Amino acid sequence: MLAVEHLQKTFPAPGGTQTVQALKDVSCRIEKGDFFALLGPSGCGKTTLLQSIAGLETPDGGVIRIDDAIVFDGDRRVVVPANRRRLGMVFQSYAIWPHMTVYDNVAFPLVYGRTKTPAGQVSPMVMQALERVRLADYADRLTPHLSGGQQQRVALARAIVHEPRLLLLDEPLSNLDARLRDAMRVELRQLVKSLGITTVFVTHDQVEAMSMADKVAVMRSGSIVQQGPPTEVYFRPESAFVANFVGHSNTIPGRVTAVETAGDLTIRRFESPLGEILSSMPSAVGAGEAGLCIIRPQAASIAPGDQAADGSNSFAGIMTARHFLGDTVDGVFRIGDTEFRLSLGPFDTTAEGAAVDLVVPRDRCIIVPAGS
Amino acid sequence: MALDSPAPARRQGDGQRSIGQYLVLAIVAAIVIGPLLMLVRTSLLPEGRLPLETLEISFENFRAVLTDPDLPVLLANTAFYALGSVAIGTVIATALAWLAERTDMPGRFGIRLLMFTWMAVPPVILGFGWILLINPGSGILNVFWRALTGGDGPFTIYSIWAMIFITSFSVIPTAFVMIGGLFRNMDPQLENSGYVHGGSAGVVARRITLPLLTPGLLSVGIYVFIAVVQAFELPLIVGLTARIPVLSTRIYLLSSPDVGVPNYGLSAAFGIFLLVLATLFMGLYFRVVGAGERYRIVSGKGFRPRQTKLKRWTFPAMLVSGLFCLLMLLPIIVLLWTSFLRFYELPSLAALERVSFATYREVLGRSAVQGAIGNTVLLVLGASTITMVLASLTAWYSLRGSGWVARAIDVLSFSPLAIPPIVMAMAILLLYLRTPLYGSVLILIIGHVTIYIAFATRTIASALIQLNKELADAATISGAGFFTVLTRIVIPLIWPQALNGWLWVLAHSARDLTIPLLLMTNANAVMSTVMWTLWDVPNLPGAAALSVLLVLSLLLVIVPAQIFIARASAKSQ
Repeated sequence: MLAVEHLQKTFPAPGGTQTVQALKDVSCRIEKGDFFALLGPSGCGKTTLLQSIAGLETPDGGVIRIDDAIVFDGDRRVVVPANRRRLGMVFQSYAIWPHMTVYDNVAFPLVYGRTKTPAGQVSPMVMQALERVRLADYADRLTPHLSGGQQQRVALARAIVHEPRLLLLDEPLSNLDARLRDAMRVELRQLVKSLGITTVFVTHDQVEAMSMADKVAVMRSGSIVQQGPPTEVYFRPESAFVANFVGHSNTIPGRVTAVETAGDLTIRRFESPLGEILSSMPSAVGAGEAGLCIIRPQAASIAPGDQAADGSNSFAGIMTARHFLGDTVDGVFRIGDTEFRLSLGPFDTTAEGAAVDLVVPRDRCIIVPAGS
Repeated sequence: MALDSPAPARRQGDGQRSIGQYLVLAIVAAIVIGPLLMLVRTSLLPEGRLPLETLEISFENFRAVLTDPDLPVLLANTAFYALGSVAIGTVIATALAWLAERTDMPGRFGIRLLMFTWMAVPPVILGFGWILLINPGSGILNVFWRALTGGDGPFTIYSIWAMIFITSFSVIPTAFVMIGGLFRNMDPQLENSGYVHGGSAGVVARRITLPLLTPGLLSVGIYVFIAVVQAFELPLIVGLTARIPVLSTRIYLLSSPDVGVPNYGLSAAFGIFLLVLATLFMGLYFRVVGAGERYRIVSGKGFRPRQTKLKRWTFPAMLVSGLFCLLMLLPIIVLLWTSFLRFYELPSLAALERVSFATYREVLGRSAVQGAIGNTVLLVLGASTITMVLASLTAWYSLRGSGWVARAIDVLSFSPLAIPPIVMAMAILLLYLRTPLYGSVLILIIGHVTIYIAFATRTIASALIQLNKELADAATISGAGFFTVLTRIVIPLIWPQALNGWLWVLAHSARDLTIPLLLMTNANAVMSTVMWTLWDVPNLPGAAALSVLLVLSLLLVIVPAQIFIARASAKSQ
């Protein structure tokens, strides 16, 4: 279990007068055995948060707890040093020590760590860790000759060999090529889940976060703007930023004119350049307030003929461009004066210039506050 | 578990670390600031008084310096000497570096080997050799000339041109190493894109290669210029007889005159004058280096620079560079010859019969020489080891420490670069003149630690900067303490650079005449001062034999160590 409460960190700006607030009152809680992803653009503070959890960076205030033991408390001036937190970490550069063999790299936490492992147990534990990452045959190799993927697995073996309380992964896949990255995503998650280690994973790649994590926290300029399971973050973004960072979206400005409740269904009427949009999703935007309507390119479809759908939103549009991307077709439509993107299947045959009806179910329109 | 209890403890290691930080600051401050304060105090003394005798302050010395009718001559000589040496030295070094790094000329490895082992050759020895080669009376080259043409030999050692010539040869290796690095680190893609977009070889050289190298070349030029302005040994050996005074020799003559009492006050005032000049140039150097950072052309390692095929120019290039190398080696060859004679004579077939090891036996039999050899070993090992230990701590705290202490350590450890060795030697002399340290080998060690700490700190600091911080962080996360990280990760990864720095200090400490000469007594003579004394007698074969022994023993340490380092760093890459 990891709990982060009201964490603050401010960096003095180099040379300038303005300071950089890397962490602004960040709180989150990660349950035992969970795989937790910190997702955000570069400079959002996710690395600072990870380094603070690791003990490599000292925050200015707040509390960090690992398994109910306090490792940092700003008010009480408690700072447990990094080497006593019993963590495992995979660094972005892997940080494999080039002067040691694979075996020595992996054995390091057992031999030199705070809790010394009896000499007789070191070898079996190292070999077990290497077997888990399928590198047992490489134990005696010098590390500079390993490939990127192998180095990454050595780093992983080193991070889990001493059964850490917490596994920290700092963009571990970003240095691999695309195909290897796809394979490692699955493998990494399976490995960590089978060991049951609580894992914090930093990434700027939403595909990694979505596919690997049990829970995702999206960060922006020092704050967590939304956290929850991947599906929740994807289907119910609370801001335009999250909607656009996690996947793509059409963001349509407008105003909520009325909130109507019928039974257990609440419908918002949203006035927009596309016409009126009906949304059945919960929202923080009340009647009379300005907002943004989020519609995923995958949420809409082209209606066959001109038959009205079952209460779905329907817009008349003209296809202005189609971009063939292989597995999908990125269709660009104009509805009135507004551009609208729609993700089509590769076998779709709608031609440029064709007039079509675009249908979006009410539960696929999300209204978020304006300016988010 | 006890470790997890939320005991209000500060970050472990912080306490001892800050104590270490203050300790290093105190040591560096003591060895750098102490002598300088003494220098300033001495320069402000009334005439004929010694420091600590009086509290009186007088600007008489500075008035004397500024109204000295010789001052314009001194400045003009120094400037001409330095500019001339730098111009010739860097041009030749650039040409050689280009041939060695960027062409397919055979024998490139030989040039590189010569340049990298050249630090085993003391400038004093170059002076000895060239005096034997081109002195107007019996210089070997002059005699050959006479035998060939019947006319008088055209060469003379005793002119500013000869001084410039010899000095430029002594700066070529330093400039070569620095410029070679520039050539090696240049991304060939920058040039390739020039060719791809239609540039001819000449256009690419003129519009791409040269502009990219300019900031680097300029900074090398200024660096060498500072070194030559501060240079003391060659102006001493060549310039004193030739009556070509420069600032550095003037300081020496005032503090150790052949006749009369030393005028420490005036000498110190000249020292401060030279110090201010050197500091100004150092400021300029950093401005230029700053510009170089903007042109940063170092991209990741592992690329192979474009190699120019010389084709029909191969032979002329080999001939010219071979000639340069021969010119560099000539003085050493002459000394080798001289050392095998009992009494100096010109090379001839008749003299060949008298070649023997008699001089070596005689010189090595002297107890003074034996003492000097012992002192030298003590000095070079002490100076290099202490310097590297102190430099490692200094670099560590200035990079990983925090606050004003780290910055102070950084500035202090760097400032000796701007302090000319002759000035530092003077200042150390003044500070320790009446302490028991005076006349000991320890004072020489202190002197060398002070003047070499800046270079050593830079070496270690650049190694630490290149060391990815995550390598140490990974060990910390694994549970390793401060010392384990240091001994298991940091030191094993940077030892090649540290050993290189150690070698550099060792060689320079053995070569140096400045500090040992100014601080010389009967008790602390070292190889370089004994060589100088023998030369002064004059006992030319004796001085030559000691020179050869010094160069040989340095080569025996440097060459294997460098090969070892090269192999070790090739293995872990």
